[in-house]
Formats: sequence, structure tokens, C-alpha cells
Amino acid sequence: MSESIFQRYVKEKLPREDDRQLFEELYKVYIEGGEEDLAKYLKDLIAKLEA
Amino acid sequence: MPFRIRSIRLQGFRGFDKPEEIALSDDVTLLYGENGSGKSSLLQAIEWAMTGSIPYMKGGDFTREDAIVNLFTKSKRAAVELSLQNEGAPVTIRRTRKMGTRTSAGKQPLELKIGDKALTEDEAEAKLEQILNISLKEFPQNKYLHQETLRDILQAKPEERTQAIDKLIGTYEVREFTRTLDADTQIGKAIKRITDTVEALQRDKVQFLLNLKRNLEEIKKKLLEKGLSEDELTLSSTVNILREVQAGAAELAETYRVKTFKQTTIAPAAQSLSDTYKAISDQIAILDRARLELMNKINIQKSLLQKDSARYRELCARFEGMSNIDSAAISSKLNEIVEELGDIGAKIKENRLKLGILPQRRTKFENAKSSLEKERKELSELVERYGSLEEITVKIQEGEKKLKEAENELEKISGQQRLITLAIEHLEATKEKTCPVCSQGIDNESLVSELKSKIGDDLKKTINNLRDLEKGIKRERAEFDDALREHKRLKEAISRLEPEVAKAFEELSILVPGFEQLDLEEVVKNWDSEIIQLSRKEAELRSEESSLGDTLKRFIELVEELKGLQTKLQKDTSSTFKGSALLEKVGELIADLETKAEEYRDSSIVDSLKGKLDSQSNILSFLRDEERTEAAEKELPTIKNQIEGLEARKISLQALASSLQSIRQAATQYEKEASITQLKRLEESINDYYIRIQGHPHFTRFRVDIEREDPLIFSFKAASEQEDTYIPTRFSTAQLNAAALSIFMSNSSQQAGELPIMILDDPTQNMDTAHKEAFAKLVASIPPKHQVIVATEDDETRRFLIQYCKEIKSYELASWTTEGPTIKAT
Repeated sequence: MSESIFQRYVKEKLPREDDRQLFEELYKVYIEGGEEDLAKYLKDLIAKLEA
Repeated sequence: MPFRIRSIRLQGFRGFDKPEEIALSDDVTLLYGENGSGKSSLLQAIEWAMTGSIPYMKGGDFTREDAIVNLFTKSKRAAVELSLQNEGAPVTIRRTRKMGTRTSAGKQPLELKIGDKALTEDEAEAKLEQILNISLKEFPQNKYLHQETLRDILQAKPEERTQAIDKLIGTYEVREFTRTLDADTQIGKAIKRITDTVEALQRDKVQFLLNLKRNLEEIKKKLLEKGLSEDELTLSSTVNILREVQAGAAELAETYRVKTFKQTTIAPAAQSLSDTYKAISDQIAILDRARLELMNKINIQKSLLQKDSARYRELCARFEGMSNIDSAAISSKLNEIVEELGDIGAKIKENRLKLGILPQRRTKFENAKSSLEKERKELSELVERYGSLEEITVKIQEGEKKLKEAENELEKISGQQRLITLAIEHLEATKEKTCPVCSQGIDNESLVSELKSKIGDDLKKTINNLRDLEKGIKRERAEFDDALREHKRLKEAISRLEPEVAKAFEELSILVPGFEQLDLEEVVKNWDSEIIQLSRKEAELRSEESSLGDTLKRFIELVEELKGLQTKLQKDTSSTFKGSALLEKVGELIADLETKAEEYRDSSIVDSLKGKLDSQSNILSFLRDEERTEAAEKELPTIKNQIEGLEARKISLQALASSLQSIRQAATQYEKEASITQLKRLEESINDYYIRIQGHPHFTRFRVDIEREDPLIFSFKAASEQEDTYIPTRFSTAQLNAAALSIFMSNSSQQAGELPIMILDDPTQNMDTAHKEAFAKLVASIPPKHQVIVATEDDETRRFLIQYCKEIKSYELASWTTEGPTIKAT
């Protein structure tokens, strides 16, 4: 059950390229920094879109 | 042959300060000890050496301190070394760490030695994964059953239990990733804030503009109803009127003697016009104040003139009444009085002075006279007793002569006495019988007796007489010496006192000539009487002087005031008239001032300017509103852009929410499928382990189903040929414990790689005796396929394991101190 299988699976399920890119981006953050970094990344992303 | 961990060496790790080394069995190793004795630390040391982390040490207090490095170790460094062996070269895994500020931060480098070859860091980790054929990241779930995982499975709620299963089968990270993506609330709040901002902009700016426009129309309508024309509601019209009023104010400034106003340029803009309006309004107020001040000033001047005129008339009349006064005669008489007052004053002063010094001079004279008479009397008595000075001197000389004679006689007799004494001493000493001078025979004893008698009686008597005489002469001499001194002293005193008496006599005679014939008490009375008379006269003269002085003063004052007032009125009227002519001229001046005061009292011109200005107040207000409305209208496109921007952001956020939702759905689907696939794959193996740990007599199969999909919840079911049932609701926790162990062992056996090891921390925590025994039998059956390490505090489990496992190394951990526990092989 490697990460690459998971990544491939999810990307196959996502019809939109934007969503696939977003998933790649978010999963990379999670793999490198864990749950806390991902939560912060999302928070910053929302703040950036709101500002 | 796959790898086996042969030994663990550790120092400064968790509860271990001093260095320890434990040799592990290739089959089963048992760590036995009470809670807190360090069993879990030893197991964690294996996990940490392999992966560089301990999954349960995350968040909370672990972020506030370093929980890996031993608190008491002096080197502040943790080191764990694992020795691995297969049929090839020995492998050593060593991981170290320096104490940091929190558990998850800081470097903890890995060193790997394969035979003589040494590798470090990423290279070491990659090589280790390669030779062991496992993912180090998955080491915790595949090799190590944490007591916390087991506890979660046994005791937690369904969702948490599912997460624990996720950890066992390796899908936990997918679940954590999916859960973290749930940002609907955050995005919802952000969208709400944007929506609120858009609404506020529409309300505060767009609606505000509409209100402004409506108000402007209403104001305009009212102004037109008041009779104003459209032309008058323009900036140019107001500019013209303000210019007109400004010019009028400038003209009036000269009339009312106000400093010329600065003429400002009037710009055709509402705000500028408002400023000009305010400035002109201030100017008109200044003019009005100046007009009133001028009017008051003239009224004061007029009032003063009226007062002066009345006073002048009164003074003239009083002067007429005092025409008979001869001021020169009054002045002459006053001079005489002053002169006479001077004489009287001098006389009174003289008498007072004489009265003051008379007693002193009188006393002085009488004292001097008395002293002189006393000295003279004493001298007379002395002369009478001792004679004159010459006679006393003669007597002293005679006394001296007698004294000399007595002394000579006394000397002579004393010489005789000394000779006789010598003769006696000689005779007594020699006892001579013949005279040494005449050689006649002598009776020594008789002669001595005779000589002694002579000394004893005759000579002694004569000497005493002479001494008495000498004493008498000396006493007499001393008396005459005293008399002589006293005589001289008295003579000197008399010589000194005589001129003193003469001087005092003269001084007293000057004060009272011929005083010897006068009664001085009477003289004093006369002087006192004279002073009283003179004082009376002085008082009379002073009264007369005062009366005349007042009359003269009043007259002079009248003349002075009259002259002063006349001069002032002449100056006021610019004339040289006097008396009634001057009064007539003053009357004319007062009439002129009244006329001027009337002119300044008239405020119609100022009021007219003020009226024109006031008429622009409402128009200006209208023009300002109009300007503000225009400005708001200009701002409107910017607001629209802002709103569009905000709407675009809202759409972006909604798109993000939608994307996250899609990703979460896909990830959850994956988690579900992967979990089911893994559980299905493990199903036979799980059931095998489950039956061997004596699962249930009837429900012989164990099944994990999906209860709910988002979030994914597993259900634990036990099944027979006919039915199935939920384990948590019907079975004991011991059976649930057996189920959890079955899942772990089956997963671990499938993910064995080249390091087939099962590390079980407190695996029988809720089991009864029968299950513990079954568990021990199961463990005993696992080697040599897998190496097993079991940590337990349970004595029954320990005994069963020792009983059933053939190759077992057993250690007991106890008596923990700051250096670590005592480890004893049993």
C-alpha cells in the first residue's frame, strides 16, 4: 500500500486538472510536514484567496 | 535466513542513563517488570533506532521538552545501537541524538555498518530499507504492537477504533490526510466574511449614494418652493453674491475704522465657497462690533463733556462767591504765625532742656563739694595726731637713729656672749688649772660655773631688753610711715577735688546764675509754669494757622480746578473762550457728538450685508450636498470593481471547497477500498490467529466490515455458519483483545520482509487466564518464522511464555533509579 498507489488512485478519480494539481500540492505538503503543516498550508491558502 | 536482532545497546535513552546491553533470543525474548520499570522504553529504543521517531510522542507536552534524551544523563546525548545478523556480514544500526527543546525537533543521525562498510544519514536509511526489504516508515504498524494501539482498539469509540485498525493495516495516513482536508468551516467563514463585506459596501456606498441623491432632490424642491430660481442654485450665482458682500464689507471697514480686510479669490467650488462664506461672516461680525464700539466711545465722550460742563458752571459760580478773599494778606499773617510758633517752640525746648539737666548738675556739684570737705577733715585730724609732714619726717629719722644704736649694742653683747661660751668650752675640754695668758693658777670648775652664770643671767637679760627696745622702735617707725602715706594721699585727693568742685560750681552757675542765693525748687517751678503758658499760646497760634491755611487751600484748589477744567474744555472745543462763551461752545460740541452717535447707532448697512450672506447659507448647504453626491457618483465604479473582486474571491473559495471535497471523496474511497482489500487479504490469516487465541466457541470466524463510509468506520463482527454479531456489544474485552492481536499478527507476518519480528507491548492487558495461556502457546509457535519480543507486567503471561516457549531469553526489570532500572536475566 505505497503512497504512489494512493496518489495514482486519487488522481485517476479527479476529472479536473486543477483538482489533480491541488491534490499533488497538498499531499506533498502532508508527506513533508505532516498534519500540522497541511492544516497551516490550507489556512494560509484560504487566507490568500480571501485577501 | 532473514535478519534477527541479536542485541540492543543503549545509553541516555528515555529512562536509561547508564549504558545497558541486552542480548535477544532469535526466537522469543521476554521483558518482565512492573509498570514504569522501562520495558516499553526498551521496545521504543528498537523503534527509534530504526525510524528516528516514536509515533505516540507527538503534540501536547512532547512539544515542550525532549522526551527522548534521558533527563539525568551528563552527556545530554542518547544513543541506541542494534546488532543484526543473518547468514551474511553483521549489521549494526546506531542512532544518536543531542538533547533538544522538544521531542520532534533536532537531528538524530543514523549510522549503518555492514561488515566494515559504514554509511550515514539518507544513504544509511536507503541501504537499511534495501537490505531489510521493508519500508522503515511502516515499521511501527508492521512490527510493533503498541500498548496504546491495543488500548484504543479495546476501549475507544468506533471511530477511534477504526483509526487504530488503520494504524495496524497502514491506511492511517490516508485517513489523517483526508481529515485534515476538511476545511469547509474555514472556507465557509471566509465566504461569509466576503459576503458581509460586499453587503456592507452595497449598503454603505451604493445605498448611501441613492440616499444622497434623494435628499438633494428634496432640498432643491424646498428651495425652489421658497422662491429661489434654478439660476440662484448655482456656484456662479453664489460667487457673485459673496463678491458683492465682500466688497460692501471692505467699504464699511473704512467707515468703522477697521483694518482693511484681505480680499480673497472666490473659487467656484462648494467647500471653497463655504470657507469664504465663513470668512466674510467673521468680517461682518468684526464690523458690527466696531460700529458698536465707536458708538459707545462717542457716547462716553459726550457724557464726559456734559459732566465737565456742569462742573465748570458750578466752579465759576463758587469763584464769584469767594471774590473778597485777599490771599496775599492771609499768606503774610500765616508767615508771622509760623515765625512766632518757632520762637515759642525754641523757648519751650530750652526750658525742657534746663529742667532735664538741672538735677544732674546740682547732684554733681553737691557730691564733689561733700567729698572735698571729708578729705579736708581727715587731713586736719591726721595733722592734729602726728603733726605736720615735716614733723613726722623728723620723728622717723630719730627713730632710725635709736634703732641703729640698739642694734650696735646688741651686736656688742652678742660678741661677748660668744667669747664666754668659747672660754667655757675650752675650760671644760682642757680642765686647765692655769691661765694660759697670765699663768696664774685658776679654779677651773669655779670659773666655768661663774662664766656660765654670767651668760645665763646678765647677758641674757641685757639682750632681751635690747630686743624689746628694738621692737618698740620698729613699731613706732611703722606707725609714722603709715601716717606719712595717708598724709600724702589726702593731699593728692584734695588737690584733685578742688578743681572738680570749681567746675561743677561754674556749670551750675551757668544754668542758674547766683544759685547759691536761690531756692532751686522754686526755680524749677517757675520754669514749668513758663512751659505751660508757652504751650497754650502755641496751640492758639496753630489753630489760627490751620483755619487760615484751610481757607487759602480751598481758594487755591478752586482756582486750580477751574483753570484745569477751562483748559480741558478749551482743548475739547479748540477755542480760547472762557466762562459762558466757553460753555456755549461746549454745548455746540455735545450736539455734534449726538449727531455722530446716531449715525453709528444705525445698523441697517451691516444688517443688509448680513442678510445677503445669510440668504446663501441654505444654497451653500445645497451646493455642498451636490458636490458630495457628485464625488460619491465618481467613486461608484471603484466600489463596483471592489465588489466584483470580492465576488471573484468568493468564487475561488467556493472552487477550493469543491476541489477539496472532490479530493476528500477520492481519498476516502481509496481508504475504503484499500482497507477492505487489505482486510480481505488478511482474513484467513486473521482467523487463523483468532482461533488459536481461543476466540469464541460458537462464533468461530472473525470479520471486519465497513459500517460507514465518510468517515470510514469499521465494524468488528464474529460469525458462525448461520449468523454474525458485533464483537464489542456481545463479547468480552479479552475476545476483542484477541481480535486486535490477530489483525496485527496477520498484517505483520505479511509485511515481514527480511526482518520478521513481532514486538508486542503488554499484549494480554485484558485477557483472562485461558486467553493468556492460548496467547503463550501461539507465541511459542511463531518462531523460527518470526522473532518475537514480548513485554509484560503480568506474571501469568510470564509463566505461560516460559512454560511453552522452548528458546526464550527472559529479563526482569526492576528498581528504577535515575541511572535506569536493574536488568536481571532470569
